[in-house]
Amino acid sequence: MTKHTAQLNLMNGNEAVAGALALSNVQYLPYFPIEPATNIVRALEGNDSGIKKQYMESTSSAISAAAGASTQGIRSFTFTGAQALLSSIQEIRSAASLRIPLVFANVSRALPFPNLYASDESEISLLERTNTILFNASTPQDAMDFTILGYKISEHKEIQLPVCVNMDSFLVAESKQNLLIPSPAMINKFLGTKREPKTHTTRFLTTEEYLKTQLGIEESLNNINVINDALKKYETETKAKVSIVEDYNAKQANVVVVTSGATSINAAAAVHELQGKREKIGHLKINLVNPFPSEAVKSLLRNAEKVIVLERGMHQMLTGRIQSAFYGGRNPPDICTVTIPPGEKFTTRTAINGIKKTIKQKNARLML
Amino acid sequence: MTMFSYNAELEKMASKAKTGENFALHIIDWALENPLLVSNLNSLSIQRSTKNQTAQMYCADFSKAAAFATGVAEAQRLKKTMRPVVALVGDTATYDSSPTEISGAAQRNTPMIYICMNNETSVTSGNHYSSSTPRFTENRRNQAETEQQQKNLISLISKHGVYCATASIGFPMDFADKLKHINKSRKFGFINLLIPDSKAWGFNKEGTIEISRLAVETGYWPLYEVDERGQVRLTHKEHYLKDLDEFTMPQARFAGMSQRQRLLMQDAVNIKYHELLKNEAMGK
Repeated sequence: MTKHTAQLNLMNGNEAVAGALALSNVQYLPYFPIEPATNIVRALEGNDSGIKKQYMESTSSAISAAAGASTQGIRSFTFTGAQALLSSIQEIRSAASLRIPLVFANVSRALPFPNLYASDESEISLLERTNTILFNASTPQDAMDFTILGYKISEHKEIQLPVCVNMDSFLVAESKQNLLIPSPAMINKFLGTKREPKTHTTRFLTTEEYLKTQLGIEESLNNINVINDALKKYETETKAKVSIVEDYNAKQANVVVVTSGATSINAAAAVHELQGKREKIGHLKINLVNPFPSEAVKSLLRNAEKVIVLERGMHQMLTGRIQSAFYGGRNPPDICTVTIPPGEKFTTRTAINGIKKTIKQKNARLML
Repeated sequence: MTMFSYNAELEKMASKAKTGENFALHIIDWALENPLLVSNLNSLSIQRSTKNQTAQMYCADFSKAAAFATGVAEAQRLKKTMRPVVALVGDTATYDSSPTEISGAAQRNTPMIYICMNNETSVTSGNHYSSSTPRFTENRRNQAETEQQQKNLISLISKHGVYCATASIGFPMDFADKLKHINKSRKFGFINLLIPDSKAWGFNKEGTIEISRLAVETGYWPLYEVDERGQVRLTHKEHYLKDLDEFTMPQARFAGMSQRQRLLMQDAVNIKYHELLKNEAMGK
């Protein structure tokens, strides 16, 4: 009976990722402490999963070491966050260019300076240019599912690129939820054993070869079919529900609220509350941020006249991508943005206020 | 080339090698069994030398070869395969950008061999000086950096309690012995390998091996090792050091040196050599 039953457990995002590592047979975890992501390592203490944890001299070195182990067919993991992400952008891009499968978590925080320990997810827009596949988790359950899925996707022969799972440092990484944990047997069957990947060599390339390599990366990155297949297989294996975009009455709605990551829970609650009063309002949660699932978003927003994008942080991540998805099409919806500043309290009530204010204006750009 | 007439295998390797770096890679292949090589992106001369090499070389970022090799070495440990891991990094990356990463790997005692392929200049940036470039060379003079001393990297790294050594491609047996010693110990080891670059140093390409031998015979590049306890041992001793001019004269990079600078350099070489002899005798 244990083969296909799942357990329920109260866990926060960091613990959920640690649990996913134990399930995915990860063997090597080089790390450099960055709060609150270090709790992933703490959660693994006393765990008999046999993961070799190694303290490195910097986060960029940790990324390099994880990539090095991955070239030898060992499943590795590491984490970044805020400043640590800024300092390891080069290493992440190199891993992508050399086609090294790699999974890492980013526990996002407001970027310095000045230092602010508060929610902000906009730093992950930096990963857009590093050829990294990026999932944005809105709950600890998402964090666990996407970490396991990360190995399946990054090790796929047609992908071989880094996968990042982003979590908000307060609302996801340090907030608890009752989790549905798949059994190790399910995940073993789902992931299989890792093979030694065929990575690129260091040889200097001609312009044509360089272009070919970069176009190959571009093609692999935009291969959303592989990602969708992996998600479907995960659903059938574990009976869990995962998708690249999740909608709540978005198809029929005239007004659709779009979010990604930690703001989604309150935004969905706000939409639910407004639904009684305004019948045609829906919610769309984007789980896969890079590559942006333009087709899926477009088809879900086909009846929308107004799209309200709730963005956490100072650098807008979703608005531009949604605008370019509709570029050149007939009757594009009115796309408005509500910016939630880093550290600003975001509740269902503030979400409702923001939505109400935006509905009245055309092409609105508001800050909560 | 008649330099290695005592060993037919070495003679063959030297004649086959296209550059000093290429010869160094041949020696590594010869001394170690099935090594895993890790280089960095920007070491141009190393990458050029691997053109005809069949062994796959993994690639890390400019300063991250030691960190990348740590991952590769730990993977060998986890897989229970004992392939030696060798990091090959240029001198600019090693001396200026990587001390943090080398220090980390040395402190963890990761089983790997870190080789600094030292041509005393930054080839990638068009013969710019680095902190491994000696005083009074042309590229230093032009950039008004004559007063700075070279970094003493061996003394810096040996303080971590790891094996450190210098080597020269003019003495391949000595280099191979050091490689084998580190590989046998299954610990971290650092080798500073002198590889003359004919283009950057300004001498005939055929004289590469001869120049690298003269560097040792004049005391400019003494061959020594520092073991885990800090004990210094000269692995090649000269009873009478040759005049430093024999090493500097054939090179265009030293052409503009004044007589005073020559004497200063000779003095520095003598002092360093005698200090090594003293330390060896005192068991330091």
